[in-house]
Amino acid sequence: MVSCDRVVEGISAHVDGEDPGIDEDELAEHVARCASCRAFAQRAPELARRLRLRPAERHVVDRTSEILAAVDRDDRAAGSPPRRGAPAARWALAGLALVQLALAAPALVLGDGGASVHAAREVAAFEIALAVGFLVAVLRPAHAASLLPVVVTVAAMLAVATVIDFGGRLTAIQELGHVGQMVGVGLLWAVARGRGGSTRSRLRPT
Amino acid sequence: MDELTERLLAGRDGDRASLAAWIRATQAEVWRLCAHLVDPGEADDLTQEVYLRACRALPGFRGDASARTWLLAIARRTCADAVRRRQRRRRLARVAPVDREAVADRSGEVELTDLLARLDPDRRTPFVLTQVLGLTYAETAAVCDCPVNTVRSRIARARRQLLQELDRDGSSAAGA
Repeated sequence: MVSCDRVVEGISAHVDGEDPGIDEDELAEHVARCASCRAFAQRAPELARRLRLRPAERHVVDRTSEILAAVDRDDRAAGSPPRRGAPAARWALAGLALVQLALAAPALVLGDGGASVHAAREVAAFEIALAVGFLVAVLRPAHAASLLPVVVTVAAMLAVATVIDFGGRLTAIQELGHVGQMVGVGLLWAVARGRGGSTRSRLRPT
Repeated sequence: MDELTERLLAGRDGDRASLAAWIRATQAEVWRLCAHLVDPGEADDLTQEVYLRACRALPGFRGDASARTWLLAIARRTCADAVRRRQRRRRLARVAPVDREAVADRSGEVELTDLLARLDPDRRTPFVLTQVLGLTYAETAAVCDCPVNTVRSRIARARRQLLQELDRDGSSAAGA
């Protein structure tokens, strides 16, 4: 037994040429028995027709240039200088990430360094993750900002841990690696800034 | 991918001519939706606000949804905010009741617009999207961010309410 509500929905959807969501036979059977649903079925198409006839008559004025001008004003009001996704920072970050990968990969395989083999491999794994993070930011600058917290944390922790553990006995490679990571964090920040709020500047003619 | 979506993606990537073409092609629909969901007198301003919001959100547009439903969803939210603003103002100002005589003077065409305005927003939005703009139920569901079943039942309730209102107006006019 279907309810009148379901039947009215079915009729209404049928008028719109949509799936009534109810078995057609059940619907027809109910309409044959129920006077109020029958009345709805008779009047609904007329109502739809009257509504559909109207909108075409109304001419909407073309306000494209005003809207574009408003978009430009909005852009200036936001105070964002044109940013192009900081291409120089992206190139630099790409190069740096590759160097980092090259430096960390041997440690992952050989486990060399002053620590135990396993610990050295774990550190190398973190360094590689950092480099991959940098590469992701290069390829998808829109995601740079969301990478920042993790990357800053990992880079800072690696640097702090190294200083504590090795003090002044840092090898040149270790030193280079951490300086590189810090530079990478700076570049990532630049890429994230370059993307942040670039929303409207992209609409500007170039 | 449809043409409007391609234009919008090109506009997003800095092609100003494409962006202008996209606005030109979509503004009438946005204007009508604003006129029906809020007020024809506010539709110009609201349309502009819809495009401002759209351009701010544009970098996040990936073309997963069609440009049409994406824009209309923004328009729907803009209108909902505008209705809330009006209600706040009304509560503060206790605006005078609608002038019924002025309404009665208008033609039958305007009468339907007036009836649509009496539908509550939950029903009015899917009803206007399908009946006035001609969206499918699936597109309407995307714009309203609700299931198709909900769209179907809200449109049915809107229809039933409109028919009742027409009857009431008809009988009161006959009695007058």
